Amino acid sequence: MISTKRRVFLKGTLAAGTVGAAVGAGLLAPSKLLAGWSADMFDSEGVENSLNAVAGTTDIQESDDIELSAPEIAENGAVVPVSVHAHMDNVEEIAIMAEANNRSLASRYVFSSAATPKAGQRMRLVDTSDVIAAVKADGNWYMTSRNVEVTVGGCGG
Amino acid sequence: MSIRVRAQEQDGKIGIRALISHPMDTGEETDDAGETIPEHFIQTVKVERNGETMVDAYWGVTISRNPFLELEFDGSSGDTVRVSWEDNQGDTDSEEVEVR
Repeated sequence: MISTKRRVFLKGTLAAGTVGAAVGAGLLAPSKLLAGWSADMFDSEGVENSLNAVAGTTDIQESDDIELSAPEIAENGAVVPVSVHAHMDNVEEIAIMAEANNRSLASRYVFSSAATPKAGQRMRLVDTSDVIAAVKADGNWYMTSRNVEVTVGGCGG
Repeated sequence: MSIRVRAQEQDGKIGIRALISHPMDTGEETDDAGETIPEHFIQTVKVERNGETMVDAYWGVTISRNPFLELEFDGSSGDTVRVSWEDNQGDTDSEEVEVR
């Protein structure tokens, strides 16, 4: 599989390259290193692996300060509107995932300080699913989730 | 391919809505001849105000066909908002609008 090769390549680069040395020496934060589109994140299967790839942990605190809007029932899983608004200070990133999709990570939004930490998108859900919003604020990760019942599944990843 | 962008200022905040025409193929569907349609999806979307990055979005294949994006950031009417994307096959597109 292409995704596996990519992961091996990334790990090999990290272990052997000067970038790896820089990370080892604490010169580069992992989040900076993983800026940009990352196959390691988007090819992760399941929410646990996706959280690990994005946040580096699955031990993430639930927060009521994350407003996650999604329909309770989606008739068409091919187009499900999902929006997230993080009511917290110093939000750096919002990641949106779906438990039922094989490739669970749908999106990541990285915000400048001038941006309101919210994002709206339309996504696919293969089946009834928990939708998860993970938010990085002040260097810490928080999450919330909501169940969306899908009556006709969209062909997701 | 095209991008339709609406950018409107209210109380010092610019709200943008972008509608991008793109197939967002997941790599899991077949065409009429039974051939697999390769993955073809937008990976990065950059939203800039007057040349300064406001939000970087990263997408996977589970974003819907003809993607919709809604964001908000500080700014004034008359500012320039630029939305640009790049997909996994190296295609790109961008659109620039003046904030109303």
